[in-house]
Amino acid sequence: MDDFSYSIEEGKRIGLIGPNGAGKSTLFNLLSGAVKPTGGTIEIAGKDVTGQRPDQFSRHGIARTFQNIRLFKGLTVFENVLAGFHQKSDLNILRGIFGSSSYRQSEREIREQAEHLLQSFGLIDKRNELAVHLSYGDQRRLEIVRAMATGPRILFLDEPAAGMNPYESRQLVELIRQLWEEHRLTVVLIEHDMDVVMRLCEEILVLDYGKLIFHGTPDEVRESSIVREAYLGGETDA
Amino acid sequence: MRKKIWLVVALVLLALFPVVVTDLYIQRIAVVSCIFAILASSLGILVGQVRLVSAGHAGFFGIGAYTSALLTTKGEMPFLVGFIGAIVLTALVGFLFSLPVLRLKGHYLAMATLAFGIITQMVLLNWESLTNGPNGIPGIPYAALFFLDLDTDRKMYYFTLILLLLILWGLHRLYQSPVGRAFHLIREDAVAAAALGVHTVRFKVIAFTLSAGLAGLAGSLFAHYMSFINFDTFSPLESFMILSMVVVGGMQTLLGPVLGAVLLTSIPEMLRELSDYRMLIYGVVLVLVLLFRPQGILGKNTRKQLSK
Repeated sequence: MDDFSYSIEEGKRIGLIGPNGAGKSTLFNLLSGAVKPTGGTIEIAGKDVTGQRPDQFSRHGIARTFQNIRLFKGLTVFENVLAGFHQKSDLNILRGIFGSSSYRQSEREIREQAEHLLQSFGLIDKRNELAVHLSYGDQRRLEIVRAMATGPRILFLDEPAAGMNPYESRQLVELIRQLWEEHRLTVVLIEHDMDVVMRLCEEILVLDYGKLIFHGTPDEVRESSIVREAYLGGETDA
Repeated sequence: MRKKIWLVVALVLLALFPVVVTDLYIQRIAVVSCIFAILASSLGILVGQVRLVSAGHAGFFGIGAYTSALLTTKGEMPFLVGFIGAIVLTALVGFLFSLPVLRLKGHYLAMATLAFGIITQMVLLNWESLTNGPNGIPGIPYAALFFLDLDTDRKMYYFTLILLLLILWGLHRLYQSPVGRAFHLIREDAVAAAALGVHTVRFKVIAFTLSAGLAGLAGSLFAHYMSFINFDTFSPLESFMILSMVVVGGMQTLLGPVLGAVLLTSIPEMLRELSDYRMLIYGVVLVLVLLFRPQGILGKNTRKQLSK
């Protein structure tokens, strides 16, 4: 990143666009703790979290999906979603082995919540299938479900519509909008599909060579000559 | 329901075994198999559940054996003190070793654990004032519970069998708990696991400490059954053999390491004439398993499913 500075407002739907190699995924990695910055600070709700681990970022309410889908391939759909409930589980070893009633209660609850989540995302029928056997679109959806299981305040989605046809991407936009509304999330989205970005986002950040070269509403971005230049004379996707 | 019936049948057979089979030689193989089953299960926690390489596990086995042996011979303590001392000390060594080392990845971690195994063996050999050097420790007393001396193969068989069953039950419960799930998440994709709030280093340290403690437990049993130990047993070659047991039996399963231990302990004994070729056979078997059935005998065939 090159002197990047921005403040993400709570509850907004923000898009992050730019040519390949502009630093979009790098920014996500920084904001989720996957990578430590060599300079500068990161704050969440006023708290300095610079240099913390990804699991610590997760506890602050950050959830993310990955550009190349990082589902637990060898696990079932249900087990993948259950993974999202790790923080809410009873992590005591002795209680786990001897099965106290509070432990059993906790397990029951998170399993119920996982089922419920799968139900509302329409994946309950496939709960016992291995994640690797799902269709591409379903896999992307499952990754979002799993991220939602952590109960986040901010959702970072890295190219969630990649590889989808127009019908699928419209459905995805609907899904994300619903999640945003129901859970009062802040959504930050990296996308190359301009249709998705324009439909979903209220504010768009444009990155090029690690620099924030422009930010504004979808209309402002559409009109901007700076943005057009960065993409070498036009929009990348029709 | 079917599973429970099988379980009961297996337990009954195991319980009747030394009554039916009175050949002392075979009973001896059975006891050693149980001890190595515990040892292999301990390595299974690392290699199978978390996918952490440990190429020096015989080191923990040796630390446990020597601790128990020294506490009960030079220290003149009762068996239970040696036993618990072995578990605690080995777990502590595992814990301290894991803290810096678990930040290493892949090959570097493997090399560090290999080095640990070699260094441990060298310490056991060269710290003569403590360990008697190459002469080892003779005259290790029988294992003994408060009321009972475990001085026959049969008594030792029941003792190690019961311990093995308790340990397997505990591991079974652990692997199904959120802690076990965390192990599996780290195994499948550590980056995704961390993004979901899993403190990967902490769980790796837990796995390592637990694994070391159980290996130390097996070491203590070994020392008191053999009544003589020396550095030679706790070699990198032995580490490799334990690893073979885990892989051949099925590293990601609960009973795989147990099966591997039983097979790789008893079969070489039954093929006594081939004892010169023991290591060669282990090597060949290991390579064959890795080529044609990497999930081991009891492992699920998910390799084929994943490649669809």
